[in-house]
Amino acid sequence: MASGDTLAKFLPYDNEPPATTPAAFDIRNGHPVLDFDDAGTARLTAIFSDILSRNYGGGGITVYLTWSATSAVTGTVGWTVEFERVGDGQQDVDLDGFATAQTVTATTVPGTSGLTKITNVAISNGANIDSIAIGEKYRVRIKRDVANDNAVGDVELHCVELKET
Amino acid sequence: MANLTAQQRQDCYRDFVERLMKTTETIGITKSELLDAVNATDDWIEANALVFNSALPLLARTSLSAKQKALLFMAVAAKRFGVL
Repeated sequence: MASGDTLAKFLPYDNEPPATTPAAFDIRNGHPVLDFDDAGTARLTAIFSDILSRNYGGGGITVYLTWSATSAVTGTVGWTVEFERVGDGQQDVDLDGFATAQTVTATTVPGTSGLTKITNVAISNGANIDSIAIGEKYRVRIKRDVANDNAVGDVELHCVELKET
Repeated sequence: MANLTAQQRQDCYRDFVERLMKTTETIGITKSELLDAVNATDDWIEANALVFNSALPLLARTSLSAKQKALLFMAVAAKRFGVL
């Protein structure tokens, strides 16, 4: 595998909701989604886990988020993405050990609330992906960046793609 | 009665957005602009509460509690604009 290849795909049914402030599962016209509200303090969260493909070449990971706004037709939506290496003796699973949050820059919502938008962040290899090695279990945590976006109401996460940068 | 506190206005914002999410209407303003509207609505109510009270017939004005008058106002506004 090389630059540009998909490493993982996550859909709403793949969410492993945290005990507190989980993003809410919802259906929009038959499309499963995860709802993230615009609250300031209790940021809703989605977590997905997988095993890093043995074909990963160390080029870093670009995370693509496909989302839509429930009602907003103006304003911006941003996200944060964090990786956690579980691996071989790397993480006590009774604790969380996510790397520094990476920001998906707030982007203007579509002018029609039912249209989806794809935004992304390229994350460098190493510490920023918590130094996950091939063949290791990892988790990726998604939160809405409500401190830096301004679209009113819920935003719906449709899917997440991890691609080698 | 004094204006709502900043926290109460934030709570109003949350309540409004939760109700909005249950409708099919879109919204074309940002979070801060909507909060400004909440603040302006609270300011308007504060400035005009006595005017509303004076507009009520004497019996309603003297017999209804403040909360009942607020519910009355909400019921009529909601019916006028098809919210209820």
